[in-house]
Amino acid sequence: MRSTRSNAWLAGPALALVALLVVPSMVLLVRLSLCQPAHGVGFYRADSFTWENFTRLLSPEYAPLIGFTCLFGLAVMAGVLPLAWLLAWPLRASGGGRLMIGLLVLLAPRLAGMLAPLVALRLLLPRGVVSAWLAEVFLITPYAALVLLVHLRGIDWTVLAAARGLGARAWQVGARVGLPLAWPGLWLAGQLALGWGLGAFLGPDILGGPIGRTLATDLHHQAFDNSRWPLAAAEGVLLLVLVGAVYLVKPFGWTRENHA
Amino acid sequence: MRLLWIAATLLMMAPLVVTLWFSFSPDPFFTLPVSDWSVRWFTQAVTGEQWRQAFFRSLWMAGLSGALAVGLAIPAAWVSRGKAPAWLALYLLPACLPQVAWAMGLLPMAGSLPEGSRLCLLVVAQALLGFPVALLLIGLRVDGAFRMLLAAAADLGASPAQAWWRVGLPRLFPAIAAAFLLAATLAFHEPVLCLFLCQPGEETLPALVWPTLRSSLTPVVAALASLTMGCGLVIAGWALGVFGRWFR
Repeated sequence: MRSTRSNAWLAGPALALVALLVVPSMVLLVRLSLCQPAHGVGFYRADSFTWENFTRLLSPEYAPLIGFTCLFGLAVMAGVLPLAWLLAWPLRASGGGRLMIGLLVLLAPRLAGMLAPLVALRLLLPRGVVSAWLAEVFLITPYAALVLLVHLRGIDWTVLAAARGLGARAWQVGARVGLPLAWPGLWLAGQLALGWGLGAFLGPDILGGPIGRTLATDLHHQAFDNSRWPLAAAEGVLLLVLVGAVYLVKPFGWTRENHA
Repeated sequence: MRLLWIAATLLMMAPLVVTLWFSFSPDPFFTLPVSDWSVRWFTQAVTGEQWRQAFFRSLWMAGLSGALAVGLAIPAAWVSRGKAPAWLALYLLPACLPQVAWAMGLLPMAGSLPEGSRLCLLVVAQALLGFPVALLLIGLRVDGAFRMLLAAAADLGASPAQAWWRVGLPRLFPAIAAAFLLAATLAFHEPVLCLFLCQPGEETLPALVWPTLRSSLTPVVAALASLTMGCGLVIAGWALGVFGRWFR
């Protein structure tokens, strides 16, 4: 009893801050998305209620933008996963200094800040979808690789040698032993990459140009260039729904037991 | 596989090298090959008043965010005990949300805050983004052996506070230092929340650089990117080095 109470005290501060900053902001976002625009005075009419923003968002006018955002997220995930795998796999059994150097290399693009990759891509490539995609792949890969690495390091890889010893061929070992073992980590890294890809803002905003617009860049445009906060908030809610759906999907054959 | 790893690493490093190269170019336009080298853009970046103010603002905000992230992560790591209880997922919520959506939700909140306190909101929000990293690093140190040491200290007559102060914290120090440095580095570079929440005149470095990067790229921006990249990598290398040496 005493332990439970002290645990609550210890876990409390972080949970309270999350609750204070995330929950009200999400409630405000939803409320704001249901307000009417201000039409010149302020940013929204606080006492109003309308579904107009969502109706507009779900109309054919916005279908290309939403479709492009989803495709962009999937393309980012498809680019991130192989790179993350290549970066994480050799470090699965490393230790000590080699692991630390590997981690530094793996995290360097993120720890160096977002400026450096964006500056380089602005220099080398014309604005467009490919540049925006590359930028997001650069920015997201380190996190996905880290998630994958944490999972891969928890696996006993001697089973691969055991499978070889029992007569399995190399491809059989990879497909029937290695891949199923790595699958939950790959799934989680893929979910993260897709979630962040759907909410991609930095790459598309700097490098996407007019054809590389995503929901996130349009949200910023509506909020700051057009001062249409309710529509921007509705876009934010739609993004939350999309990303939430990605995180709620579980891998095939997932059970609480095999996850543990 | 090793060759592929090297290729992937080079691919990830290439943009950093290109930016560094461009920042030393004497020309305002990037032309290859660069035969002359100059530090004029670095001089401009360092002496420019608005860049310098934004840099130091980013620095102290990152320091506060890192400290807050670590302060929250120590008790949370103790409670999580190397396991992953369901409520731990709540901690990861800020990092998993689309940042533009979260920032848009924070915007009306920031508007209702008293003048000058937007930066406090930003510090706390950035701390929550760095918190999962701090929790991961500190959680790795709060293992069974750590708990046994605290129990042993208590058996030898130390009060809980003494056990923590004399035994627990010195043992946790490398993880705390690494977690602080990494969380602060991430907060220093964080652009999206800053873009939404910073008011004119109180921008952080990423928020100040953003319009320039969007419209016309200048070598001064490349020099700033190189400077922040260098600082970030040195600090992160140091953090991982400290953590790695003590973790063995």
